[in-house]
Amino acid sequence: MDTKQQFKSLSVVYAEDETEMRESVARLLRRRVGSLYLAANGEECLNLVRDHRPDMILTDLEMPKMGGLEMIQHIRREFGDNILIIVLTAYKDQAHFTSLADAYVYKPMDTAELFTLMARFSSEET
Amino acid sequence: MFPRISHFSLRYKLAFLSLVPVLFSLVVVGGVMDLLARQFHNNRAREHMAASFATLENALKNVEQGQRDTLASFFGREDIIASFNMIDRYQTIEDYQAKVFDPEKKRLAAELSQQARPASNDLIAAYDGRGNLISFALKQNGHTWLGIISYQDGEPVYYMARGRENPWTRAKSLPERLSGNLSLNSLETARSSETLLGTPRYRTLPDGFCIQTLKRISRRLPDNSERVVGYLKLAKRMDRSFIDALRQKADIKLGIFHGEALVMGSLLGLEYLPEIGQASPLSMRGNPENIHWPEHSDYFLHAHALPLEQGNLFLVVGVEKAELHYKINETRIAILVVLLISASLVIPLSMLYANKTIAKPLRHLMRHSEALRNGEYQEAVTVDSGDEIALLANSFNTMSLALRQREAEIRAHHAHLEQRVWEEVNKRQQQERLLIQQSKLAALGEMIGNVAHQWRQPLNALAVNIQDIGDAYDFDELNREYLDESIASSMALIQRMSTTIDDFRNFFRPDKEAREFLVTEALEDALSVIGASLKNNGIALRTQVEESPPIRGFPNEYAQVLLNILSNAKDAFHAKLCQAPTISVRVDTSPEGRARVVIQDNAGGIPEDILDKIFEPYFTTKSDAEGTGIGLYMSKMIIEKNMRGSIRAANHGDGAQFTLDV
Repeated sequence: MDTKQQFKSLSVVYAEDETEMRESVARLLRRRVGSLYLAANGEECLNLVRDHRPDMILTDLEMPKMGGLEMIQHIRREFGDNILIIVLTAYKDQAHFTSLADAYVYKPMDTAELFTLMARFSSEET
Repeated sequence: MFPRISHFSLRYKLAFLSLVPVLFSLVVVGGVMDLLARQFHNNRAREHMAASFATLENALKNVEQGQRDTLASFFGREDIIASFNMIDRYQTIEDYQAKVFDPEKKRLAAELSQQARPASNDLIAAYDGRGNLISFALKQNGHTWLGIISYQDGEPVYYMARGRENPWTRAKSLPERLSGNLSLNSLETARSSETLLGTPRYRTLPDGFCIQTLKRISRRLPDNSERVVGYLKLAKRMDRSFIDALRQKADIKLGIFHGEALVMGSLLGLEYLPEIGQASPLSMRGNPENIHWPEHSDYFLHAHALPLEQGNLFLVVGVEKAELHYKINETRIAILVVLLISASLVIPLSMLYANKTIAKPLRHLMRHSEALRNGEYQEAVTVDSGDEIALLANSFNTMSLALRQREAEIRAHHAHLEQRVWEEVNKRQQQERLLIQQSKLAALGEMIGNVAHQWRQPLNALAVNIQDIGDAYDFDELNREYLDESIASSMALIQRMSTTIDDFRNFFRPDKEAREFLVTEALEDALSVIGASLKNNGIALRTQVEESPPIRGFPNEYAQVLLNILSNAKDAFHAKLCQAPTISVRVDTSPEGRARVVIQDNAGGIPEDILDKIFEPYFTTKSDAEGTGIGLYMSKMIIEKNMRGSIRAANHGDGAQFTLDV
């Protein structure tokens, strides 16, 4: 597997309330995607999606102000299935809440798994 | 308690019961015997009197006969009074009375004056057949007075002459010695005339009595017929010795009546006189004032008529009842003694019998009963008296048998119950042990969950950091600077995880001693343990901290209480799946000046029907794996017993609200 995979055409919004986690994952993503927007909660994320119409959303579920689930519901209502949504969560048992999402990556996160998913989605896109 | 019981009371009751009929029958027998004795004595008294009367009658007849025989010799004797009643030509006494002035009376008065002794003041009187004074002679101061009394319309008219040759003149009154002694048909007169007869010449009469008799004086008329022209009355004074002789002879007390007057005697009760009157053609009356009546005397009386020519002489005799009563009393005492002796024999005998037939079998039963009470089942009681007590004994035996069976059943049942209880207790202890074990496991699980929540984030970050090193190499970013940054970041994460462990260890370490602390410190400690778990479960936490007074106690205990309530709220959200789950914590001061913490959620609240049970031990709505029902009970103990505060639960809005005041 190519560890230097890049998806420069992808525009991505990443929502995570934990700063350290957000910064670490952002560093990984910046090396690969075209444009990356960071949100600290669901509300920020929703605003960013409305402003930038990204191709893909990576989001945590448990976040202040607006949780991941509520945000996903908003996005599906506003933008339909046009935006790919990958949920990053520590709770496997919460997966059924987010049947609206396209895929799940469980924490502690295997970055290779995430990139494989992203690769698949980006190829489907093109 | 039972009343005090004497063992011997039954015997006395039975004796008393038997005493009543015994005494009753004794009284009846005594009464009958008394009656018989009285009758017997009455009869004896009557017989005695009858015998006495026979003797008396003979004695009196002899007296009368003797008197007649010596009648002639009475004349001229001082103790004999003779009077002549001259009827003359009149046939009846009534005719005779009608005449006012009678020459016969004058002649009689002259005769009387010759009889009167000249030497002394002497009075001699003549009476008619009914005792009326008709003429008299009186010698006084050497003079001789003659007097006659006639009656006009029942009133006396007196004529007196001084000596035989002097003329007769009507007198206003009689000489004093005769005064007041005259009144026709009056009893007093009759009595006085007798007295006059009996007291010749007015000498004081010694104690005694007179027996008198009358003799007709007849004259032959020219036509050869004979008619009564007068009566000669003779009276003999008898002295006391005569009565005493009679009395001794007859052994009775007696009184002697003549006509209507009592002439002798000392015993008669006035109330017996009518009885005497019935027994004779004459009515008899005495003057109570002139008779000495023995006090309280009481006699059996008998009137006996002694026929004399002039009229019946009545003897009234009696036996003193007191004497009879004395004899009756003697008999009564004898009867009483006999009855008392029989009673004193009957009572102990009846007591003995009652004791043998009733009290003894009962005591026998009682001993068995006591043995039964002490749980000793003896052999059957044997009472073969064939009465109710035997029935009672049989009943007792049946009861004893039934009791024995029942006791055996109860013992068996008891043993069974004991076994059951022991099993139940064992089971319960096992369950309790299990419960405690479970609660420990649950607490452990809770803690591990909390640790997991606390560690999940730094672990994730660490994982990404490590993978980023490889990624940086691929993209030619791996230099000293990058490594330093990555190491520093990772070390910070590891440090955070280490702190979490310290926090947890500190949180569950028991407090060594009570100290002053602020509830906000305890709240921070609790949130350090559960905060991550709340966040990871999407539960928003809102804290509002106002000023609160420091409190004294064990901060960890208090923090554990807060943790417990927060944990329950978290679980409530987990069960309810509600929108926007939020826990609000407010710290401030209660109106009483205590430190107050109010923890409120919006998970729907506590059902009203269990609201008052949630602080009870082992009460839980959770499944075995999730809860043990100890948390809130322990919380209440910590707040109310250890810290003298209060913990209350209520529903507020759409959730539960817990208020802690310390």
